[in-house]
Amino acid sequence: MATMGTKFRPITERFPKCYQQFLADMRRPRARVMCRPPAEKLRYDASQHLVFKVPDARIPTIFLPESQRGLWGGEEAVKGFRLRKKGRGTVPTLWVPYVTKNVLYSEILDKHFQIETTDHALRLIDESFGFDNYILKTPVQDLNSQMALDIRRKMLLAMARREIYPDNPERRKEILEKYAEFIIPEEEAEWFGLHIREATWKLLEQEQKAKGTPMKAQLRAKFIESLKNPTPPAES
Amino acid sequence: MFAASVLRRVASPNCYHVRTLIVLKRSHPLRQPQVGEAHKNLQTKRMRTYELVPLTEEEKPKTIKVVLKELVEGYGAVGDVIEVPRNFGRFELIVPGRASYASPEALKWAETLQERGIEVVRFTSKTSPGTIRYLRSRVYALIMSEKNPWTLEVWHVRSHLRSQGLVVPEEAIVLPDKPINHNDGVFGKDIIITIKINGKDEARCRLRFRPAEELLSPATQLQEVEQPWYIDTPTALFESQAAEINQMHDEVMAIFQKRIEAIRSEGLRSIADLNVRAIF
Repeated sequence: MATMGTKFRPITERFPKCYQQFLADMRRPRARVMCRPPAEKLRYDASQHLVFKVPDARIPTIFLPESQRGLWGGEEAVKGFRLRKKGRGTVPTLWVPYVTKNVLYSEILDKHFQIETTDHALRLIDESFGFDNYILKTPVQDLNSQMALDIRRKMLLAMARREIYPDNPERRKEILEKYAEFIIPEEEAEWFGLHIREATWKLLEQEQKAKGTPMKAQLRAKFIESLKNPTPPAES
Repeated sequence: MFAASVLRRVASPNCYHVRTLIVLKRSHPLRQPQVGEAHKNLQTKRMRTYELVPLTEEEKPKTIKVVLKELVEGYGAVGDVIEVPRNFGRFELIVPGRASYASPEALKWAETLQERGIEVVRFTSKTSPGTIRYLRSRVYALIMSEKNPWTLEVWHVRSHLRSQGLVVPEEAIVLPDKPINHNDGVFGKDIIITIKINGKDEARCRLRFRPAEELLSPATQLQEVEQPWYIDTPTALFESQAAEINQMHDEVMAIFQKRIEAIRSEGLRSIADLNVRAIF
């Protein structure tokens, strides 16, 4: 039974605001990759003299857990049917992304990564002029990869702590100027892109630290200490 | 049976170069829903029958623009903006740091090269830097007479180079400023000449004077030689060229040692390996 006077707050409300915003961002609708929106939003029906909304429904995709440790640019699997020749029915089909291993270079971390990518992801990287720009600029829900979020957090932390290029101050200054728009405070960068399971542990640890050690644990430690080093009885 | 079924499933290799991204659309059009009504029939088989959207002009494989950060042989000099095939640009130029994407910042950097004091070295042709490296790593013999008097001329050099497999026009050869005569004690000593490629790029080439009478006598031809003549430590004819000759000799020896070690570890691959001259 809850103690009197304390109101229960769910864990999603106890997160820092920056992480709550991140969770909200992840729930936003993602960009379409496997299908296209209709060409026109409205349609005029001449026979009825009426204007209709053009029906629009995305093609449902299947989430693949492997996509979380690569850069697939939002691609997923699609399960459905394919038409055969006229009058011959359909064939059940599973369309899956074509993934290759490639090496990419991060300017901020000064590191090479071997990453499983699709051609679409490489094209997106080309369009945003580089791996760093793609990771930092793309909306979080469109990255669709825990690995990309982890790399982004490392980049943000390295820039916030000014830890990039420790031996080359000129290059450090150059890079910090180039990516100045993405620099955020260190406290926010620590929380960015964490998986909700990791974030929960982090929050619980912080709360425990703020509370301090419980009195029961303190007394137990004191008792064990006294057993190890018994004080001699006072002489009367 | 298995192999045939697998082969039937594999798409043509041409497709991979074009687009591996799957873009689908419904084979049958969506039903017009009533106002305020959600789609009800999306789970039916009819609504889950898809077909591939054909390729648009934008999605066809294109080249990418890159700005070179250093000299890339056959492609350009520092600061050049070039268009290359996508994967070559990504994985051969950008990932190793030889170039960067042609972003507005990179283009601005390329324009302000002169202000930063970066020298732009250009060569007249694609193969010119390779030829310069090739000539540096070799020693050519100048087989001249010990008895008959001579003064070194351009055609001497041209004909000796040609006999050793290097065809150079006479206009391209630039001899040292000092005239060289037969009685200067030249034999066994090295000089460096300049060979102008396309009249502009200067290649340095090392020559060694060797006595013709001694070489042509049958006694020396039958003699077994432990190591080839061009491995001997060089002595410069002109003192001004001594430092450069020693440096070039070190480069030659490095290549020689590397090749010998390869033969020792891997063994002879062909009879051509036995020819010591072919080692270079």
